[in-house]
Amino acid sequence: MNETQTAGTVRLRNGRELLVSNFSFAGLAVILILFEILTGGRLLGQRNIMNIFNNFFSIGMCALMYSFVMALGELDLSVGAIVGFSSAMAAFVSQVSIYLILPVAVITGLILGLGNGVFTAYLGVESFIGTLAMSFVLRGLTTYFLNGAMGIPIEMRIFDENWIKITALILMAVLAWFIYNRNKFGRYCRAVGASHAAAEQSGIDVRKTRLFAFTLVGLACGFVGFFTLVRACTASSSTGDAFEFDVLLAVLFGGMPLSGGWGVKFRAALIGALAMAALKSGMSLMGIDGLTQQVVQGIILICVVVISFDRKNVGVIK
Amino acid sequence: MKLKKLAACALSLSLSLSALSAVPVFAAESDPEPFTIGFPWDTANTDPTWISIYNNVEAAVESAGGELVSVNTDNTADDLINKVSELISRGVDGILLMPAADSMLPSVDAMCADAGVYWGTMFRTISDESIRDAIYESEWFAGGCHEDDEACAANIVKSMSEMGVTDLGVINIAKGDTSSDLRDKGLAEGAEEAGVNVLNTTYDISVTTDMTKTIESYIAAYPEMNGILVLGTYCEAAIPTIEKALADHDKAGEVKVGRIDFESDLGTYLSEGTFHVSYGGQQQIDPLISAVILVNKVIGTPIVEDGPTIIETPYLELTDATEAEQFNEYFLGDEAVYTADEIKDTMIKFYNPDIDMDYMNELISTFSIADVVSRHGGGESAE
Amino acid sequence: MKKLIVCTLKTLALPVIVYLIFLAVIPERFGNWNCIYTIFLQTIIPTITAYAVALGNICGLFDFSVGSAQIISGVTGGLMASQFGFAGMILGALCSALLVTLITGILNSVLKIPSLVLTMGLAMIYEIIGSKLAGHYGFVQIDSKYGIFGSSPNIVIVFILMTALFYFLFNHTVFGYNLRAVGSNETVTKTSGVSVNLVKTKAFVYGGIFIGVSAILTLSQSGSMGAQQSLGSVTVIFKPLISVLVALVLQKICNLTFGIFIAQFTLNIIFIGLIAAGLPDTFQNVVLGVFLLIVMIIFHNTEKLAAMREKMKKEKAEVSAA
Repeated sequence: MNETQTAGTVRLRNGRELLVSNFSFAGLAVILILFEILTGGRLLGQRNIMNIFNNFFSIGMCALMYSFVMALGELDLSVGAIVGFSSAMAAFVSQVSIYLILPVAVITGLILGLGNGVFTAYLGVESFIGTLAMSFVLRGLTTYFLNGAMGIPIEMRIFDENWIKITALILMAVLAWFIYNRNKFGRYCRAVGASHAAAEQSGIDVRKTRLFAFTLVGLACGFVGFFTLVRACTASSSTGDAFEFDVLLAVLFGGMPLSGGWGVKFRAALIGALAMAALKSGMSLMGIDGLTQQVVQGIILICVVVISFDRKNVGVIK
Repeated sequence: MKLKKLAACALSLSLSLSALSAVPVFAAESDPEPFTIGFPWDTANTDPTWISIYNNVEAAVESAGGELVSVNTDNTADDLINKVSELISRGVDGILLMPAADSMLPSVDAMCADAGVYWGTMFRTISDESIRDAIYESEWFAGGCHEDDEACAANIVKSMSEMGVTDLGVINIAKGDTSSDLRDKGLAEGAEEAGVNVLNTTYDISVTTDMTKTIESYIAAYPEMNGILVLGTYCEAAIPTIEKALADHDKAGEVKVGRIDFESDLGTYLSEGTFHVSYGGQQQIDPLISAVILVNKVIGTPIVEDGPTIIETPYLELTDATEAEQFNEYFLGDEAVYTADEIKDTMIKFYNPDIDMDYMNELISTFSIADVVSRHGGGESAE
Repeated sequence: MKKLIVCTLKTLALPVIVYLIFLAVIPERFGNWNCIYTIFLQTIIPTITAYAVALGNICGLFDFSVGSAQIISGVTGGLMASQFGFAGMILGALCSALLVTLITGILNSVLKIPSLVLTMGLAMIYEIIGSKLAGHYGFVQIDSKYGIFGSSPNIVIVFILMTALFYFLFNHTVFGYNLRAVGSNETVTKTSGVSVNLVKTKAFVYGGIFIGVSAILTLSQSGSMGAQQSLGSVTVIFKPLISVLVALVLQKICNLTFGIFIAQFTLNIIFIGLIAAGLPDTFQNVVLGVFLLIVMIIFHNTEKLAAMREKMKKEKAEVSAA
């Protein structure tokens, strides 16, 4: 092979790698452009932008902190149940004082996340199973305590203002970005995800790292529970239903690897959540029925992961 | 001179003609301005009852020349709020929804009021007094239909008691749903009055396997059970599943079965004598009339001028296999229980200014399976 | 032989203790054979589903599409029953289950992505296929004459056959050995010449047999099979998965085949016990979650617990010596 062919092959390989590593951006761009054309410009119209934002907000907020758990190579299937339970507890205390709604929602989420962390980190339960069990318990308790649905004063809708939600999301994103990329905790998460044994031997407290990661997710779920509550001014036993699948789909859409480690990029959380929200909005605007939307989502999910999954660095694919 | 006279005549004539043309000698029939109604509904659900609800709403909207814009929802409070917001952003003139709970209604009203969009409800009354007062005062709330769920549940328990039921196993929709709570209340009242013992209630069953497990659990845990009452469920083929479970344990016919809300298989079991009583039929007339109320409001001819239009639609009782088959054909088919033309002629105030509450209540009082058959099937009306 | 008897008694202790607790609380409802028999009958279908889940779980696979495959299988069986009778129902259900799981297995082998993601995406697609097959009413019904497998004694006979099949597959075939080897250490297994992809594909396909049979039994027992959407079918695997996980814990004292049944039986005792005690059905989920957590915590901390027990024994001995 001559030098030109070698250089061309290298360029091609670099180009392919460039595409794969920025696949999530490309996917988002394709979705936005395609549906903008197909909906005759309605997708990115002023009115619909806020719809996309509202669809994206809860999932994006949770996905930001979910990055830490994904970096560890773990899963949290209790996020929906934590959102529902936090929302329910906050609705209860609203009868005492509306000023307690936000702190109770956040603290409840924090405590439940801490619980998940204890089970996973200190009691050795696999995250998938432990968080699944937690979700069963919390769903049952939410239904039992709420005994249906509970409302909060309509005045709390003021927190559903767009500028408040945008500010909250930006603050959460900045905090998460800082911890993930500029703080050693983020590096620890990725190091543990890459190799548990190596991380331990290099002095990282693996248990504490796991504990804090799940606690951060719980914190985010507490906030999501609050904002979900003030949007509908209702907490019900179906609040947060299937939210864990939405978050998981969003991070996978963004190209986040399930195996964790150094390949987990922070931006995947936001891009994936945004792409999913735009996709749903676009299909809805086009009048595509729910069944077809589901098929499209399933196919896109598989295709995205097929393209973006790093097979070289993962020893065993399970 | 002649030219001047001629010009004067021509000018007079043209002025006269233009004056005359401004006066409508004969007024041509007009239609309302085009409008859109937003409808958050579980369009992914293939249950024929769900589809018939959509068909009936569509017929009502199209009768006045409107367009129905539907978005898929799972009918939870959170998702409904998001879908209302989405529909508002799509510029609809009205929104019809089945609320998940009373407490979400102030949020819906606030959003619609901000956007200047009318809205209405179906299938639900507002139990919370303070919320009801606030919503009824809103100029954007058109009104809606509901049924007397409490009385219906009490009546069906009494009917089953008359059949000899003393110990009842119950299935209901998820707690927190207004209908579920009202039916629970009616169940308690009816059971106390009739001396029926309610053994247990299982909520929110959505698949047949869970239904089978629940019935088998009831049979195992309560050997004395002699009645099963389905107050409500979103599980498809609920009655066939229950009948199968009873038959497998040799209890078909021995355990009396009743249900609120019709489904497609009742005729078979009514004729076999293993199913005994059902109250329903409101799942088609309620959404249709609710949509009619909203449409009338949107096009500027509300049925009630100075407040919301609230109509109670009746439950129909089914104890006859023939009627059950007719229900399948005429209520669960592709056609609404009133066609768009029938709705236009009888329920749209724009075309019929005499329509008021008394008129609507009178019209609804004639509604029955036989009535629908007579209008769409060529049979004799029960009247 | 003595060891076998001791292990069997230890395994049976779990459901017996749970049953006795509920018997003590509500003797009038639990103290009859009909109740125990109903619990046993309710255990059958989830146990057979659990066998399908176990085959994948043991070699490290996670299959979200079991529920949707079961729906397609049941719906196809129901449609074929109306055309071709019993043979149509059985062949239709089994062949469709095998086809669906074969597709899943091949895709898993070819696409080389985590099974959790693949099966989640496939579940979304399979659910819609099931909806389309089910037609206008969203569910398929069978004539009562085809429902014989749903009731005793036929359902018990089918259960015994499926249990024997799973036991044979898992313990007395090369596939079973390879399955456990892959689950134990995939890299080493691959190096020693075993085709890991083939084993995993077979795990899906053999699981399809159990999915098809559980679909036939579900269809026969309920008389119908309905489609689901929005990943609603995923919840089908959670209870069988829990019994598999508990059985893996019990593997130290009993065979996996038996362990799965015992675990599922114990869970059903709890569920029916809660209903009989008049507690709301929401407690079922709470109890399920707590039960799973306790079992997993004990399993993952047996060494620590044993060390603690040793320490307490020593301290007691020292105190009594003093």
